[in-house]
Amino acid sequence: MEVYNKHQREGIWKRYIKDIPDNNYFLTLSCVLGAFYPGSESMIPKIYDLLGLNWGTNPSTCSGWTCCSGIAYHGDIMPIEGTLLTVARLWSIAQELGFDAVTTSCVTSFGIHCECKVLYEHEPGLKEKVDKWLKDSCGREFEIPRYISHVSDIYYRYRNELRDKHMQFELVEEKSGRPLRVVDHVGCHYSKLFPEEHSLGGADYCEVLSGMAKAWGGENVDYPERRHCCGMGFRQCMITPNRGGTMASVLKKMRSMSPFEPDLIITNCPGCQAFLDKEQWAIYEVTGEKYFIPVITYQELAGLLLGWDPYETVGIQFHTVPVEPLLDKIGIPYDKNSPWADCIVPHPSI
Amino acid sequence: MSHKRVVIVGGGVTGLRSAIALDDFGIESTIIEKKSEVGGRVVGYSKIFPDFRDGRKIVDDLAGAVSSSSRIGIIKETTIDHVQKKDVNYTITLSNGSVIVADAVVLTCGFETFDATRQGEYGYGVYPNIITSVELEDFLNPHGSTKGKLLRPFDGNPAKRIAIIFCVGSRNKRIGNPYCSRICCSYSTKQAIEIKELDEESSVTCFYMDIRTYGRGFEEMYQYAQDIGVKYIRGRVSECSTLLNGDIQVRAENTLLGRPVQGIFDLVSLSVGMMPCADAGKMSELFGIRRGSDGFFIAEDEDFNPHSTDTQGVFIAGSVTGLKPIRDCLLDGASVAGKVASYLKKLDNK
Repeated sequence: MEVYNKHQREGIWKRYIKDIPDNNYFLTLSCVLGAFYPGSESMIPKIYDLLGLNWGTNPSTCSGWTCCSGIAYHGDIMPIEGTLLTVARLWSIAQELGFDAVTTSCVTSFGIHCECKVLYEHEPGLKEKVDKWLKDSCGREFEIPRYISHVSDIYYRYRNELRDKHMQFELVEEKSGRPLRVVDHVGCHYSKLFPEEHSLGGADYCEVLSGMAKAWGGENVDYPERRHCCGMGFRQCMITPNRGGTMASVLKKMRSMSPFEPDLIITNCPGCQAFLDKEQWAIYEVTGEKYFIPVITYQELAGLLLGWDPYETVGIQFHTVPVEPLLDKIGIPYDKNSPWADCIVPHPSI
Repeated sequence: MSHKRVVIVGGGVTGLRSAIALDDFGIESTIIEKKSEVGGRVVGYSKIFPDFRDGRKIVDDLAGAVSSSSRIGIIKETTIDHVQKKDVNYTITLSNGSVIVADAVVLTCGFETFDATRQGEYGYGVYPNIITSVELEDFLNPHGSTKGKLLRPFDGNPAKRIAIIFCVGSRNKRIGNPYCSRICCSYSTKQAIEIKELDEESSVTCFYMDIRTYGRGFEEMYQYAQDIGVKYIRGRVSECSTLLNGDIQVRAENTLLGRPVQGIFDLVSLSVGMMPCADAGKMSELFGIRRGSDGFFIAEDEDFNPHSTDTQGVFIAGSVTGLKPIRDCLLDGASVAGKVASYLKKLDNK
């Protein structure tokens, strides 16, 4: 008997199907993803174009564009009113361009946008207040968008089309034909804030990343700490004395998943990506425990399977845990003479 | 009393008892039962609390008394399709095509158990070694599927470390069942005792919110459980997950110690709460009786007239009015007969 019942799990997550729009997206960018893993964010427009989607964005400062303020709100230096106003301006920019579906590249942004939407739904008079603030501050007007989606929702929605029409590789070990064992790590702000309304699959069996892994040939790993937060938590990672909490969370997850021998971890949150990737090295330095399981974003995974250049387009050189061993497993070619190859620090797993 | 007929909807212990009590008054009754055998859920309980009597024997005794009376009829594997009221009579059309005219109707439809998959964090249906109390009852039954042996579904090995989680599907606003199911603490304690008596080397841990073993002999049963080594940890379980060997990791809060706890178990039993019977909505519509916000039927007066409804000639008894122990259901069955007899006598005198 299997350790977990796949059929039943399929039945349970399907209770939480959300409505994902199929086109006409306004794209908001992350304040950190483009800095930490630039390929992840730059590939989103490429995918939207590849799928022939109608989308737009306007990150020009002239438009009044800013980040969603999530990092400030969750870091306790901006009150919710400031966030409501900031997001209202973003929605106004989206509507100015004619879009009613906001897609966020960052999971924290996704949580912020959802939280604002839910506040408007539950607090009478709030919309009128923010209408006035927005008008007074920058002369804009806004409506609550019909759809708030995360970009991983869009990738999920189009996962089969990407596989059938565009992908050149699959999540399978080239030599043996074995499906790769995939740990899916979904950001807490995607799956746990409003699990029944905004998370595909709810909180416990969130499907957005595991659905991609399945569609692209992999096998999902169910391990005890699957739902555990990565520990980033803004106030943990930003304040040095608290950083140990972040590392401890990652260590807990790594110890729990290790017996299941995953081949890779996929993420949809910039914070989770950064800390699951970078803390593995720090854990090795501090405790001597070796994990070095490649951690990649779903955008990077899609880019690699599409056959896009691992360095020039996907940007795997920005990773702390080398991704090259994963490429070797799948059989994705890469330039071993690339200047970026000099940046691969030899580590015990190689 | 002139010839009168009562239809009893539901052939569980309440329905059987009410038929016997009506027979004592010389009143004819017909029991409509949707399953192939009478006895409801009690037939599957090898031991009932607090005195550990055999549930099957109780049902056999009741069924024996029913079959020995010429005034009681049973129609099995049948449901009610249509009801028409004319004056004080009810013309009831059954799913087998037959029609019965009744002077009074007693609803004793019982209850349903909570679907534990709705609390996804407990992993029921996904992890093999997580079962419900209903399945545990079967395992503990010498005539059940495992012949009274406590085995792990994952690998068939004996289960030595058992966790019982109370209040699954009860006292939970998120699920929509804010009420207490009243009997779960008692039946869970009974099951814990059965496990320890089956194997005194087994370890049984109960995760509870409150211990509500009220009633004569119930508190003594709870004390006995502790005396024989059943452990009680006060705190809600946050999640269950599986290890590679099928063991279940349970994470909970120990509120008395004020800290989280974690344990590894062979078998985890979810003590599921109870809900109104599946036919409650249909019966409510057919007979024009009200239901509370919790879905159970509402009596004309909960204190002074607990068996009468707003609809003349329609009476309620047993778990349909709210969950209660088996002995209280039997009491209800006897009590409603007196109310019905009194009602029929008044009809006669008109």
